Amino acid sequence: MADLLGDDVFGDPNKVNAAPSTDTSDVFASAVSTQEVSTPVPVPVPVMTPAPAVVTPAPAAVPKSPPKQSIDLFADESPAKSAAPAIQPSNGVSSATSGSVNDIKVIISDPRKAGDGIGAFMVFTVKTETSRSGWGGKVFEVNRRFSDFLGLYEKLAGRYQHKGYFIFPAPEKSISSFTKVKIGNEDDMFVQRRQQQLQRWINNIAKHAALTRDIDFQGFLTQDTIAPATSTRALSAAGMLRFVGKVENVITKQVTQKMPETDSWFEDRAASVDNLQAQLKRLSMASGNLSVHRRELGLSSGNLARASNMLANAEDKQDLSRRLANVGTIYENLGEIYTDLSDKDLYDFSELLSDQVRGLDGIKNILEARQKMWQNWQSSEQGLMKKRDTVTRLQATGRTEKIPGAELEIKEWETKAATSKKGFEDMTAVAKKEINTWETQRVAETKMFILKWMKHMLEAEKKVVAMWEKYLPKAQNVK
Amino acid sequence: MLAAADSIDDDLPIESSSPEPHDPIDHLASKVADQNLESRRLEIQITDAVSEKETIKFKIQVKTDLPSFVESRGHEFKVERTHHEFSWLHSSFSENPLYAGYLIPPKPQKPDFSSPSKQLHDISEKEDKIPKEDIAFLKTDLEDKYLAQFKKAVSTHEIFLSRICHHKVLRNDHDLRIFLSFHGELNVRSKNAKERVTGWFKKGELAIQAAFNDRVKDPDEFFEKNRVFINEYELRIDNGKKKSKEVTKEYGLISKELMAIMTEIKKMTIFESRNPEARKIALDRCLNIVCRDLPKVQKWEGRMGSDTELKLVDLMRYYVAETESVKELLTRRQQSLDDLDRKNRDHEAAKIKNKNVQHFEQRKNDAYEHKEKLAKVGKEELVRFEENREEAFSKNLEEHAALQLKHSRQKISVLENMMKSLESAEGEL
Repeated sequence: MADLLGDDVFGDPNKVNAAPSTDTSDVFASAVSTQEVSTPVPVPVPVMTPAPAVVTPAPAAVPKSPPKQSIDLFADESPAKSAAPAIQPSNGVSSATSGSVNDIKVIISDPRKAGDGIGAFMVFTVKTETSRSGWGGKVFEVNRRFSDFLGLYEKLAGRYQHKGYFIFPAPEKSISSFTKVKIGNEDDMFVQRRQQQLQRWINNIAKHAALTRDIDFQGFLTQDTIAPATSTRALSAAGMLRFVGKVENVITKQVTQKMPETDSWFEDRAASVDNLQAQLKRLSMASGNLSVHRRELGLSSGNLARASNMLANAEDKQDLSRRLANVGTIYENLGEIYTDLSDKDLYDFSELLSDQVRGLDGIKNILEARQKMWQNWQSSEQGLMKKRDTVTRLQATGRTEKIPGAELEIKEWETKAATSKKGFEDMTAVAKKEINTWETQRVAETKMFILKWMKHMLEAEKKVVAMWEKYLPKAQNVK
Repeated sequence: MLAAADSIDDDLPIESSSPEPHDPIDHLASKVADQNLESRRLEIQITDAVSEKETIKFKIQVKTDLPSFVESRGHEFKVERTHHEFSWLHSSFSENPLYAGYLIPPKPQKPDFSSPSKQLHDISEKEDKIPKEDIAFLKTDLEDKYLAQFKKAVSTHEIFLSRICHHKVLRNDHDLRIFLSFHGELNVRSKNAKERVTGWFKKGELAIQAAFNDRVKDPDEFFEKNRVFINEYELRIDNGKKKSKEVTKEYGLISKELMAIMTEIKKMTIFESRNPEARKIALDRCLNIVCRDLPKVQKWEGRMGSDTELKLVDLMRYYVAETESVKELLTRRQQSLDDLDRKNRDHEAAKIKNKNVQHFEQRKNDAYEHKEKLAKVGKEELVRFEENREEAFSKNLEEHAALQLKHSRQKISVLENMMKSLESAEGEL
């Protein structure tokens, strides 16, 4: 993330001119009026007054597009339009804090291989249903490849991370995934998992009110062709650098000045993130293993069924033959039950845990970005001090003709320092809110999938019992 | 191989087990022809098993009205035997040429406690590092494993002894009588190297012969049908054994993984109990419930695996061994046919040369008698084999189903209680 921020923190030359701030605050309030947090368990949303900070992202959200379009996007958010069926009635100010929307649904399907040889890649159909008015339609269907998703993530992270927003990290490219795509086929388990990961990811982003207003987000879902995200493709120079980039980040972190943490809230957070992440990783792996073993049990049950049928065929005696054939049938059915349960273990438990692990990376990103913001602020303060020193020196040496110029520079740096300070404070407030929201969602999600895991186990076992009950009366009758 | 012990009963007749000059099978058959003997019963049951050092001691209860037993020990009595002594008994039968025509029940497997032993060792080493509840759980898990092995050992040894005691000829065996009625230890020595090697050679011989016989048709319709059947069955029963073993293995792996999951969830419980957001929605309570009850689920999952082993795998394993015995029987039958062929030709040759005709005729007649007797006994054995097979499979399949059903129901009961607790867990406000 370091390179994306660069020197120019805001990246928006129009920022100072953003007059419609007061208008957008109204629009904003109504925009985030949709209370619904998308978990089945009702979650008490922390009630906070909307920080003034939420105003700033509005114009900055569309740095490169003409103002007209930004107004269009904001115009979407009239209360009537944003009321999707599942949404609870808005509560005015207090609900503005949840920042969640529920009017965009994305379904990813139909994975297929495109290109060939070393240039092969996976393409998905991305279908979107939305009730937003500014999008020019209700249903969209486009084709996207994996690197497009990563490209979208990079853009969103680049624009909003330093404002304190939580951007759920996209599924990663890795050496193993790279080879699997080039060599494997569409039926692979791996491809299925990828597809589900991407679908969960995009829907996650689609729930974040501020991010959904991003022009590139809309384009990603609605435009037939978008600019190729070459920097995220594995075979590009940039792609290779990204693999390396991780290492670079760690080094720069240690070299630059460490921010003295005055806010104990953030201190606690930073301390617990790594621990939680490690735990979730282990649990994800264990449940992934469980899924694999269940699948193996499904397969070996099928094999046993066939073996039993073969024994049944070898026997002359009718009774024995029938018993063995019944055993074969049972194990065939058991095999199906276990395989089905295995899938549920994977997609409804293990994979969700992996998502949470990635989510924590997102939290780490915000914390890092906050550090960077602080450092920017410090360096602009230092710059300001130097300029003041310069003036003092000039005065001392009597070079008065340079003083007006120097004083102009001081003014510039004072503005810089003030804005970077404000940026840091605003960002801190947003970050806190975002992290709280994520944490609330995480625990709710965790409870939900733990319960679901148990429920699946129970349902599967009921089916197993039904199987054996069918067999026993048969066994006794034949006697 | 039986060392003479001091307290041997004097009135136990010691028969020589060397083969009689004329057809030994005849001799035995005539003994059994005594209707009285055949209708008497000889029942055994293994009532207990005690683990001792490297082996298990089985407590056998005998109920009988066979005169030879009643004389020395009465109608009901007990005896203790180790696995080693069972092994000796099996060898005594399988190597006895008297019993060439019979299907000797397969030798019971040596009880294997290596895996639970190792686990016990691991636990005692790390005893101080593991928290108390985990120790309690690991110990129960260990007990379960020991129990499973015990059940297996008792079952295999009982089946073996029972089969012999129900065989109208084998149960009159002298060594069996000593095995069942002699008070003290049998002091059987293991085979020395020479005996072991000779044993292997004999087996190898039979195996090679069997390989040839695979393609030779048997003139007798009954034997031919059985030959064809056993060749096909051999493959299928072996396949059945392998596949049921795999199923058992996977149950075990699932069981282990559930434990790993529980360990992680336990850590999460501690973490979330300090998290106010989690407490609000009772996540910490839910995790606690899962920790508490997952071991119970795991227990039943484990039992499903170990009972599959007991009822299916062991059943198939037994029949893999019996199938081998049947093949050996058919090989010996073929040998008797070949032998008769040779003796016939020798006789014909002698008749032409008119030299020692009587001698070769006698040999031919003996070979014919032997072949006939072997065929008669062999047929009975093969019929018995089929009946036993039907009975064993029926019994085991039914018991397997009953056990799986029981464990499954237990599992459901635990899971239902868990769901109730989870759904009613209340959060702090």
